[in-house]
Amino acid sequence: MDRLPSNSLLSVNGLKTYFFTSEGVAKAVDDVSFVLEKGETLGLVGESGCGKSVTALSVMRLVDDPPGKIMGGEIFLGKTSLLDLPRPEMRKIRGRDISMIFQEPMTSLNPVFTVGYQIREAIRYHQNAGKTEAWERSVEMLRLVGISSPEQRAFDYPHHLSGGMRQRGMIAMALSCNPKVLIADEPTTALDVTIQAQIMDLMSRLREKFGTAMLLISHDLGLIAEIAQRVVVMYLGKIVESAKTCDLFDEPLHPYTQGLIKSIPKLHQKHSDAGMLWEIPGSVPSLINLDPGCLFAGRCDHRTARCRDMPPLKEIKPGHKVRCWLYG
Amino acid sequence: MTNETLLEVIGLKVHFPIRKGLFSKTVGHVYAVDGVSFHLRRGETMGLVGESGCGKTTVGRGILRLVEPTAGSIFFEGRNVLSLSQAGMKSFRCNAQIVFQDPYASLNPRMKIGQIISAPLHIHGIGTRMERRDRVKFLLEKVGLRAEHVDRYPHEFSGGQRQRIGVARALAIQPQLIIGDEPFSALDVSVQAQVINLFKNLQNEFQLSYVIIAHNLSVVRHISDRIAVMYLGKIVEIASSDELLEHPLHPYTVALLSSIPIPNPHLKRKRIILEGDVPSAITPPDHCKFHTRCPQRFGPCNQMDPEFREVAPDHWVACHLPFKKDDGS
Repeated sequence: MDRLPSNSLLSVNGLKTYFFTSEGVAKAVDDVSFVLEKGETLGLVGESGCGKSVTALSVMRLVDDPPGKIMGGEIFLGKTSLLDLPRPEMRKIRGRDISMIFQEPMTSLNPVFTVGYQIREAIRYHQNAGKTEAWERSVEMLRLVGISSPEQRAFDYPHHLSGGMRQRGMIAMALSCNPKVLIADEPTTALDVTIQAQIMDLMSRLREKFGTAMLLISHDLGLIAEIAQRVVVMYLGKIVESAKTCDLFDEPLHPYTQGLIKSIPKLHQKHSDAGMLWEIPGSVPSLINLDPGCLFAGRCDHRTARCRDMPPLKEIKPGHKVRCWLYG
Repeated sequence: MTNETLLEVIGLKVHFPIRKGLFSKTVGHVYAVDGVSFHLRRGETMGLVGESGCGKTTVGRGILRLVEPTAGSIFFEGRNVLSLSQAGMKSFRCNAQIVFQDPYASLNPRMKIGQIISAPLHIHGIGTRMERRDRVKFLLEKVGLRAEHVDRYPHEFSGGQRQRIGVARALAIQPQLIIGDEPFSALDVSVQAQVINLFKNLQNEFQLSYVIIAHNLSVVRHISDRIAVMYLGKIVEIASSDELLEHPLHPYTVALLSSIPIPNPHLKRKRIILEGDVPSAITPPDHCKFHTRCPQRFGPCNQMDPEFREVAPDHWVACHLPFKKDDGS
């Protein structure tokens, strides 16, 4: 794969986003770096509280302040440093260069405006289009995402639409200005599998058509395996492993990644052969007052005295990085 | 597992009236469950799968009469649950318990764990105070928590631990049947495996029978001996887990299976993408309810109800397709 820096569309470097709560500081994202290349899909996996959504919100600069604050690092979109942009400039980037699809199609559309109006708003804001022209384009977008009779549907309010249709509306809105980067935060978690299949199929086709790069955030390893070319695994605010998708699933290196993959029931395993599932002991600890050292040590089978220090994220094989002392 | 039938559901229907206007006139019905039949053997696990709105949760609640069924019969150990008196219901509920989906909403935040788990014992008047407390401690250890947790409140526990508390509560009065309504879906992947294993261990130890309601087919295959697939209030296919996953017959089952993403990047599958959304349960399509989205619909699908027939030993399906003749009729 071409790894020239000029090919990197979005690069996040040493990002730190902390939340200041009455109980203490939660380091939701702590020193996270990754690169998204043109036309690529990067998967960001982890369990709840691992900081995957906060990473996305930080890139969009949508973290609520207070309590959250981006404490360090840099985010580049091409050559533009997003963290240094004044707010009005950032607003021009959102929706035009980077768009986001949120998890909840129920709550991320405005209930008091029609779907067509909401898509038109984005087009008018970013592309200086007239009312009629923008309306026609938003109808066209709705057609593109597979909504039947979009001329009428554009006049519908979000509550008229089913979950799958709303998510299509969200996708139409996100893609309406042809962004370079699409951030999809659990885009199908709220939907049923047959609808999920429709939406993911649609997103892949649209991505090919527009050449959009996508950051796909999900806890579903199956979805990531099918869609992403590279994967970043997060645990408690830190990247623990990153690799090409095939490498990660063929040979997971971090004990956490290994445990995650082993603990999912396999669809193709016979019920009669199914013994007990592999368990990762314990549960994800709270982000506040974390012990120093390896964050996974408390639940890890391989822990040694060295795990009292934080291991670095180290490249073990070309393109395969892991944060674990097992690998030197 | 024995061959003895513990639970038999015959033609279960649950319709919810839609009331409107000043005099709450009934203007229609939600046909949430519309003729569901299956049986559960003692010690067996039956998985009930389907997408949201297919009525699988309502089936679970209907069996326990947490919602009142409109029609049908439910036989538990040979007695019809729907004709039981109040006292009879109380003793039935001694034998049949439920574990809910959301471990955050299903535990009263103002009660201590000890009170939560002993509530069923209290209601059924089992044991003295001390005996109940001992039983709670025993149960806490059985579900992988510690006896000291008895005086803590739900907010002190993580999601997985709360689900264990829900399981301990269901076990308190030694039921024979436990209905799990999406008991694993609110949990993180790493914790989900722990709770699935807990269900399996407890089944072996206490000879429990389960009806597991879930949408995740990988989980359901792992835990269930047999699987029933529901669509719009009806069961479309029932077979043993391995048979259903390896030789699915109903086009809906086939589409559902092909939609599930599999964590293996080398696997390239042909996916069947269904058109459109699930129709409304208020105005379900006539005859085969799946015909509006079925990629294989033909002549009789919108003219005749498909019969629920046994097409292979213990493999039942409600579809015209296996009986399609070559001339397309």
